[in-house]
Amino acid sequence: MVNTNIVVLDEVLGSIPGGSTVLFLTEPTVEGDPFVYQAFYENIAAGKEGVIVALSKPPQYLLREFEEYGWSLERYRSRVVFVDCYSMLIGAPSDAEFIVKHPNDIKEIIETLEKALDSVEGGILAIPALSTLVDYCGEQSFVENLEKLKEIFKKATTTFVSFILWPYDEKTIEKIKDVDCLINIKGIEQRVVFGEYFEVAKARWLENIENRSIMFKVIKPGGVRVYIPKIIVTGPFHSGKSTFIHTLSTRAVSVDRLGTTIALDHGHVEHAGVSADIFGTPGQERFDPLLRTLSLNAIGTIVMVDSTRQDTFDRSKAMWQEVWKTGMPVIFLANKQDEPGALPPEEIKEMMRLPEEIPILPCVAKDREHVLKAFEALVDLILHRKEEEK
Amino acid sequence: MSDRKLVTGIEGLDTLLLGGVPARSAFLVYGPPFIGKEQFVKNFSVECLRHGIPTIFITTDAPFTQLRDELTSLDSKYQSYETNGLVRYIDVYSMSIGVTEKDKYTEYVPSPMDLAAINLALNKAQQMVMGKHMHHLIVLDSLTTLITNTNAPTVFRFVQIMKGRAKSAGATTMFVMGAGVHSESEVQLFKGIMDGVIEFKEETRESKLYLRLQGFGETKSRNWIEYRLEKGTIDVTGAFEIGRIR
Repeated sequence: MVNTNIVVLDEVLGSIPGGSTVLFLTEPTVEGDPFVYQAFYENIAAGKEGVIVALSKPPQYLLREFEEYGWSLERYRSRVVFVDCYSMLIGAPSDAEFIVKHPNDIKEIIETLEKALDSVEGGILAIPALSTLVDYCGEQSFVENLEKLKEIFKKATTTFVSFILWPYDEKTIEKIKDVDCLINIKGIEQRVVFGEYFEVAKARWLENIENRSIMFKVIKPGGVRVYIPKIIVTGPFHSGKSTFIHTLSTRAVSVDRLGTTIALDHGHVEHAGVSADIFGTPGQERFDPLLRTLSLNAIGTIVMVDSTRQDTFDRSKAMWQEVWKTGMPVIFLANKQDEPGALPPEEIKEMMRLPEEIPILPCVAKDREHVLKAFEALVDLILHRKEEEK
Repeated sequence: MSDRKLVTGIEGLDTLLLGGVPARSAFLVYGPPFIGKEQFVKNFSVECLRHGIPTIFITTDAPFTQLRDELTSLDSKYQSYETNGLVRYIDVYSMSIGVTEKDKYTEYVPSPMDLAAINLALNKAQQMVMGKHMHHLIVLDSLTTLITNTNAPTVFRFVQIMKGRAKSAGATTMFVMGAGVHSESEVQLFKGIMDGVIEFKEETRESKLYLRLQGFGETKSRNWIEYRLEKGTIDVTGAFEIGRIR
């Protein structure tokens, strides 16, 4: 079974059928190569053999890039074959298994690639920045040989390719798009690219593809992570918001005075292939004007409830209503479940008259296991994950 | 400096340009080596920094440390521009010669053939310098190296994307290109995509240096104007008010 090993993407694609080519079509200002690296590395680490093509940098730089992502390809070097299409361009020595002597000769590249794939009897094929081949060989020559190249791809168990959308001829782009699976990687741009997302445009083995754009971040070390830019944690004074954020976060800061949050808490979480920024609001009523500002552009909310303080339940609900926007995923956490007098979550839900579809989970904010469960539950709602997708 | 013009710091040239290079333009500095285009590039960059305009240097022919040393010798306050977050480097040279040291103001690109990596590094550098600044300057020195390592159509596609993005980000972009290396059609290809060209040449028989402007909207003169290289800068000496034609 071959997957991309990228969270959410695998949930959409499922298992990739043998002989398929997965193309990551990338705008020039966003990163597409790490998708290819991650898919390749994780499959190699799982025991498969593979071929990787070095087009725009020497193989040793590719190995170094893998290392920077935290993936030691060197450890599995016996299962990986390099096709070096770069070194001869600059007259540098190469210890790659297969060296293309004339990287501007697409026919030689295709022949070498075929030999490399034969040497591993298929295996995973990775070609980061295939568009470099257009640059080396010329657009016309590339297009003329593209079908032959695609035939060679079929020799691999699965081929992962990234292609940068430089302003090539539209017909060239259309031809390159004609693959089994197409994933568009795009930037959200306002003066500069400040966000990146991917979307599955096509997968031949799927009848219907859910129209989802998934934000991501590329992290070193770490690789491609689904990115949730803003989750709000709100709730009454002393309900456990700051504790929750600090327990959950990889790193966190609080703007507080004598232990009470007076501006905000901020934390960053890396968990289960998801990267998220968490913002905690102050709990005291005098800071309520901040609530709406802090919740701007949030895409998920956690509402803390002090399970031992029935008198604060209305306040929890009021704070949720203050930050609530139609359709924004929310979960309530019945915190302090380890303390005497804590009411069970379902009882709290009933007392608060929360709508049936809003989940309320038991929580002990000091306990990382509880906190991660709550985080995962909210992420599932945000990513519209169904039970069977997980 | 105004919102519309960036002063080059070279008096005669600023007069020719009616106040300076138009902000948000993309222009080519074109000419053979050792006749002053390097001096122009450095003087203009330092002038922008003196006026608080952040600058991103993309170096393909030398390590960024060499450029840093040269700019420091031009302006003793140069280091403060770095510490104030006005300077970023994208070094497309050092890794190719095996340099592994890192610098906090610098993004490294392993190969001049990896144009996508230059683009990504540029986006990262822009995020760093833009902040409260409406304008910034991007210096790419040089297109010649990129073209000789790949080919003209490839670099042209890269410049097309870079130029468009730079404009929308509020950047003025200066591309440096060497004369005598490229075919005439390649030169025209790149001149054609620019908003302006500052061209340098040497008349060997007279041992005189000339520059001229192309594009840039309205200018004082489009003729070849004589200049001298004086103490690391350019002194425009030609009489352009009456339009000296050569």
